[in-house]
Amino acid sequence: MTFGGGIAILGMVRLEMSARGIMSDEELAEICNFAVVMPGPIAVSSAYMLGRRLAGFRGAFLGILGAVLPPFLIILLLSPIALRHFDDPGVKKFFAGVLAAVAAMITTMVARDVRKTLTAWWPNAVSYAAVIAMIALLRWHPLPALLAGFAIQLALFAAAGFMKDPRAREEGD
Amino acid sequence: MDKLFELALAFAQVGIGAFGGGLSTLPLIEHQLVTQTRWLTPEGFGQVLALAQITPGPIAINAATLVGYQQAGLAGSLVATASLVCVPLAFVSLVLAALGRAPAEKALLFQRAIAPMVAALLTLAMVTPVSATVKNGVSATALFLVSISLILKVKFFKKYPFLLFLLIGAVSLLLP
Repeated sequence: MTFGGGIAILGMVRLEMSARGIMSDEELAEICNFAVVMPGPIAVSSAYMLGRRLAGFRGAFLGILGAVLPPFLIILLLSPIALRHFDDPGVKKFFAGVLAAVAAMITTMVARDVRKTLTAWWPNAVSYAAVIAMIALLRWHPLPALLAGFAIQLALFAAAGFMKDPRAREEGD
Repeated sequence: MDKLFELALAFAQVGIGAFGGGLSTLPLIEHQLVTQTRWLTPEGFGQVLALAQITPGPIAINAATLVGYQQAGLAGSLVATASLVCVPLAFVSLVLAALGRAPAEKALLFQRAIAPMVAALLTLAMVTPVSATVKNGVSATALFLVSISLILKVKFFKKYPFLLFLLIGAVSLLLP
């Protein structure tokens, strides 16, 4: 049951695994770091890799099912009801309130994370601004915008000499 | 084009671009479902986002299941969710097969390389919910500001944001 989504779940996974003594902390950290940089929901990719490491492809399959099935079934049950009642005045009002609180949470995340990213290494601002401009102003599809931003970032890294020794940079996170 | 195929294609693109996880995938989901396919109106997108945040699981999975259902019933739900999950997993398998095991050093470099992109996506993720809230009127905007101070000041809500979402939703029902 993950409500926070994303990184929050990794902390829970870590607790579960070390409580059961199945895997060393280093190995777990390695898998989690990798899950974060791979595409797709983090809960799913980490469940896949942990499952596979512990019990082969059967483990991977069960790991994915475990991560996907609960949210899938809950929304599947709610879908017919939600779609029928999204236009009811009371439902609209409730969701408008939820959305206001969600907007508030995203705003605080942006204030924190964006500042952290930009102050960690100032040239990050270049690819940050470029991706925003490509999507918001030029109306690009986000996928090519991400690729272009990634290319810009690698060029910045290469110019600064980070490609050979990533640890040379101070801990940004 | 067959609806199920359209769903698979749309959510494959969401899955493959979902770096950084969670709310930074919102611009991509919005682009696919609102701008590109028009399966959701901007208001509908806000409602799906709100529903996803008060139910368990990543927003991308919630959106796939709901919009899949809206477009093509149970089959649509299954196809959209499976596509969202399997396409990026195929990518992960290929990378793992090529590299042997999860490479810590490269993952670190890559994590730093995508950090500004994730920050940019998160910034864009703010636009629709905030502008929709302002458009929803004075009381919604007030609830937005109250929520910001609650998240910043009350540790409990920072830890369990979905309880704040439910609370603010309930308060919204009582306001004019």
